[in-house]
Amino acid sequence: MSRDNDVPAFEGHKPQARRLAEKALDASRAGDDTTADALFAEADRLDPEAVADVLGEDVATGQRRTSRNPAPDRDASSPEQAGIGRTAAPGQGFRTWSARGTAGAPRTPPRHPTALAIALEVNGQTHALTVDVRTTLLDALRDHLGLSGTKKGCALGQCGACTVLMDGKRVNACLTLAVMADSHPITTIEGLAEDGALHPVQQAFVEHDAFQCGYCTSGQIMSAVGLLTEGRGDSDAEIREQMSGNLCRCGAYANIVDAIRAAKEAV
Amino acid sequence: MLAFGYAQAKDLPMGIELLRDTPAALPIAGGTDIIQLLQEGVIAPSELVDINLLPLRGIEPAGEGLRIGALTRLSEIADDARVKARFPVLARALEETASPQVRNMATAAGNLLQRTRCLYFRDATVPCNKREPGSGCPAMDGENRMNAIFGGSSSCIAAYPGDMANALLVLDAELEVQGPDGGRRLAVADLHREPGDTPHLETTLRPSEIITAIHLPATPRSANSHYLKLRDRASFEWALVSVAVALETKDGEIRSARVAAGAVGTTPWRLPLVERRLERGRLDEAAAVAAAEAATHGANPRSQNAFKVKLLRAAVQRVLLMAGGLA
Amino acid sequence: MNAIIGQPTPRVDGPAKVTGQARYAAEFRPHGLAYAALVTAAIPRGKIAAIDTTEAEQAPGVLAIIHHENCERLPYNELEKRPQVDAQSGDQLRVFQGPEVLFVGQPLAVVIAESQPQAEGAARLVRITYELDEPSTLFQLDDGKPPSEGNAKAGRVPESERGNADAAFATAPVQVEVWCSHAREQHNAMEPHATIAEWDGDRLTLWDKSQWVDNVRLEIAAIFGMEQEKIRVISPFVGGAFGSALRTWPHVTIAALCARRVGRAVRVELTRRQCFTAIGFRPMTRMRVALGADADGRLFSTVHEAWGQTSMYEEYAETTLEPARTTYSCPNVRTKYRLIELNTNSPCPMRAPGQSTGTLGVEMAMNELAAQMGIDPLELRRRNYADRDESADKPWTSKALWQCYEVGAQRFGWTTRPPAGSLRDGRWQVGWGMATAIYHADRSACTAGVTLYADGRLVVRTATSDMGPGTYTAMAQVAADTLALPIERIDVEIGDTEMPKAPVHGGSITMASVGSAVRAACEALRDKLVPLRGNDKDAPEAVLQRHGLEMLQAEAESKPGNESKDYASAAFGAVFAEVRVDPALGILRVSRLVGAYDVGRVINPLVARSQCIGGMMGGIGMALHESAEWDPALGRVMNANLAEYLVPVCADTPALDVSFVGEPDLVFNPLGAKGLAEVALCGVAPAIADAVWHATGRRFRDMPIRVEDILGED
Repeated sequence: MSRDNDVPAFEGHKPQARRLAEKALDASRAGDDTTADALFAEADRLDPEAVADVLGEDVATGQRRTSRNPAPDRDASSPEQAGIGRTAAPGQGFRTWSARGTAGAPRTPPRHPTALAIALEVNGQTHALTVDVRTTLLDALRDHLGLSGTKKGCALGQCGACTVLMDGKRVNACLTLAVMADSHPITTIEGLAEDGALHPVQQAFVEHDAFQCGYCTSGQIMSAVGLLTEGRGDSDAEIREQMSGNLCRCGAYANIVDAIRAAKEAV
Repeated sequence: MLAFGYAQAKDLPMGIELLRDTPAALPIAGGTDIIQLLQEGVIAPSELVDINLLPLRGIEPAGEGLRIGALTRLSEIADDARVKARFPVLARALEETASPQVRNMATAAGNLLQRTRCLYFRDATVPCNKREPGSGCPAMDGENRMNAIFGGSSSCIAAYPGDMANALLVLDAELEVQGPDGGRRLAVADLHREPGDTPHLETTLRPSEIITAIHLPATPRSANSHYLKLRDRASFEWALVSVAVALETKDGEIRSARVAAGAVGTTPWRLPLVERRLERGRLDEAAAVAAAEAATHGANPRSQNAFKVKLLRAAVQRVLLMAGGLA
Repeated sequence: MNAIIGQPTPRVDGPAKVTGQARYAAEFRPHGLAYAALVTAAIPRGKIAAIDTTEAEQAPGVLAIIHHENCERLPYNELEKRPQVDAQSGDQLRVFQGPEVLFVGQPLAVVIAESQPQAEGAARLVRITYELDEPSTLFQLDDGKPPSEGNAKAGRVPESERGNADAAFATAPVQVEVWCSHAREQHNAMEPHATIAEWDGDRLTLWDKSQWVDNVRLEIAAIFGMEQEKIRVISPFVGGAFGSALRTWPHVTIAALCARRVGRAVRVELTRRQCFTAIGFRPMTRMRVALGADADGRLFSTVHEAWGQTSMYEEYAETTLEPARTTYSCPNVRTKYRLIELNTNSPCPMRAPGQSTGTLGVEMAMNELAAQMGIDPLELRRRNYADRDESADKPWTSKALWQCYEVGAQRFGWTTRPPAGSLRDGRWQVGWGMATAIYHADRSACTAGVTLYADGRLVVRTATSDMGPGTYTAMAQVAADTLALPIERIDVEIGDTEMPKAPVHGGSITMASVGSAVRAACEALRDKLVPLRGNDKDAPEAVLQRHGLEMLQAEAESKPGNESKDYASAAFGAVFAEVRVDPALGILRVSRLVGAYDVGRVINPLVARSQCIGGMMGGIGMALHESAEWDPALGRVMNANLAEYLVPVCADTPALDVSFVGEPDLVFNPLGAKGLAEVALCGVAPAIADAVWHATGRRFRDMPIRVEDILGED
């Protein structure tokens, strides 16, 4: 067998798909949508990635996609890279991986401080404390300052239970580090009532039974106060949309909307 | 979270310097994604460099357009009267981003750099080529309902989840970037990288570079721009499919068009074929249907996300009808 | 009685909740509190080959790390009688007692440190290597096993039959067969589960998120081989639970272990991700329902078969098939129940356990039968009305379901329901649907104590809980009513094992059980006051003062009597739904829900309505959103967070309308309340599913119904 007679390795359907897609593109440029769609559909059947490549290189709009990575050849990919899934036997996915564990690669040790002295300004009072820089504002409020009115529901900004006002705006206390909140005035649920009288939003929440278990309530109320401060809430639809960052698993939303509407009228 | 050091940059040179001095450092601004990634053990930087003190916040006129500081909060952009009037697609995309709380915290540049919501990337106990190169991609045949139908590779099909970037694509926005070697301009279209066989490399930013601003040029299309975001629940969710469109029309004819889709690509995804079909006629129902037909050529769906193909076409069609005042 | 019962009294604990003063389990701060973080299994089945804690131990602030190699051996004594909240067969997970791994997320070690971030950071440095075994991760009906004897005794039987359902089905002029399912659902109460443990010598105090403090004490005593009297469990506020806090989960034991190891109070608070594995869930259930009817739509055959998920170590079973046996009049009914064992954490009751699942199947089948026959679905229900519980062959203590149908239909405007596929609003297709709701009413023995002080305050004490339904408020109303006192003078104290014994706060039994006990205790106090009072009409505190008494106490137990043998009891409801569908974009939104409920006496319509609208939102979740996405290749739930495990948000809230019909059920209990938390969830999902059919002309039988379903295949 001579080298000259070696058959080139089959490159998959990519080259053919590319040719079809390029012709389709030409048809498209010429305004022949029917031909273009038919050719693209044929090319899609062969190798949609090749079609995407051709489209990505399309300069018709005047902007070339320079960031595009060379598309890898699907057919040449190794089985390891193709991943694992439902077709694999259950549990097989770990066999090649889990022994590595979950702790990750060796890390560079930190060069900058891992603990810092900060001053948190909460409800008009300044608290000096030293925190591990990993401490979120939420944990600082609850575990360091004992202000447990601000609730931890997910610690990932996905539920709104930790909503406080920072610099007058509603934020998720779980998504900021305490060291980053240094010197930014913070209002929590504990700072809302004045002289023992409930804030109008708090009062409305009681009157409209806008909660059941009470755990999301602080966040709902702080979010509602933020909403009113922003001048929003002119319609029930807007209140609903604007309160959608605060989950209530007891399902008190209808009453929450009623309470906010009433509080807006009262303020 | 594994222990990290914290440093606060007082100005831009200091920020760049801090990042250059500590290669395993990450800049943090709004924190809305970084804290999640830290809490879930997805990332473990040696330090966080807090760049919030950098004077990069605010929106100012730049020529006929606007210059948005990198640290401007999403809510500040969405609420800006100039943005609402002249770049409505951006305001709309941001109004539908995350929650009011997150919008008050998240920054413009940080939003562009948010990382995928691929379920396998976010669970640090399973393989993921993006999180741990070479470990595999269980999303290929797993829970890939939210994953990409464009731009995937055999290593990764994680979708770019954001909204703002799609709007910026149709607005021809550019980024100002500062790094150790000075400043440069970068089209938003050139910011994100497709995964190829290096899915852990997600952007074209160079080491220690910081995005400092977003430029919104005034184009004949900017003011006639629209955004449609589709999701399972009515609010507070990443998109299943989203579409941004900006059109220049004269005497009822479309002179030029930009269309981009979100949550379908491994990067924010421009749809040039759709644009071309639009750029030669009136915008009516038939034109919207014909243009939408071209939206999904090249789509490569997986086991659970084939619906995105149909949904993308429907979304393109609908947003065009909205743009034409027909829906 | 004064007029306070039946009044929309604002919650007595409202001010504490809106000011952030109500204190939940994780928020107590015993002196010297240390913090713990769990290290959980990353594989679904196998053994720990090695555990390396070297690096973690050196991390700053770390006090101790406990795992199977260094944990004290715990006796885990068998209880004489298993509490009904536990799985009735199998063994509970034994923490740190061996190297076996049974599911992803199983706690394998715990790190105790001076601060929460230190504990969590060090937990990530614990390195575990595993020996893998082949896990069971596929939900395959052929693998279904009949429930074992323990579950059968508790009413979760493998098979049941009255008449001959299959033969009757075969000859039925009209036949409907439906395969349907709902996804695995997670409770996801807003408060993550948490326990603080503190030892004082051999005495243990636990601040715990619990729906049943007495049972936590019982189970922890058995696990540690202690006397119950040495354990105190405190749980004044529960931030939602929906069943997830019925059981005594492993992390409670872990908290006690940690506190003993470091000699300090220790807090274990689950992360949201851990809340998908360290507690339970509503098992995914697949069902087959076959209905046979005569030409008038009268049922004469019902076959209901169900397959549910359970774990490898416990057999959790539900009352899924009860609605098929009790909802409608039908001479021939057969049920079959199978469980599929998977390498996952054990499921547990979640709001309307079993019944909401079974109702989904039965009601969807009824709606399909109605459509097939061209009978209005409401009329079909009327034709099959069950005047007695045909399963138990007993009369109902009360049943006003007929009025539920009438009032609900009227408030919804159902009588004008147009033909399917005919309602339009622009691009929206609009549809209406309905379903029956049923949940068995139960009652348990409960003791309550009341103390009247000379200053005029009355304190009610009982070891029940309030996870949100308004126990504090309702009990205050019952006491105010019985003793004719102003409600402002009444303090209710609950959630503490030091208080009189109470049953589980779940299964909608609290009002009937605890309310009756509070009533009885107040009556006992009144009886004590009578001889002191003589003929005068002085206020009670004046009576005490006149006799020089600082206080007067009474305690009483109330428990079900023969009525539970002679009668069946249930809460009923009729749910009507309107949906809007944008077929091109696959968007499905619920625009209107109307529910009419017979729950006996409504103690507080304000709070009761809240519970009903909450049940409706839960039903929307079941129908449109909730699904724990299980990857069988990796043996785990992949969307273990609140961003990707979807629950309804405020913007998903439709117009909600709630009515109460019927009379106090004084046969069932002296208060006449039947309970409503569970019935409020039942029926919502099938009503929505029917409305989607009515809008689109297409049936979707697997919940949740999502965009891809509406879009359909090309």
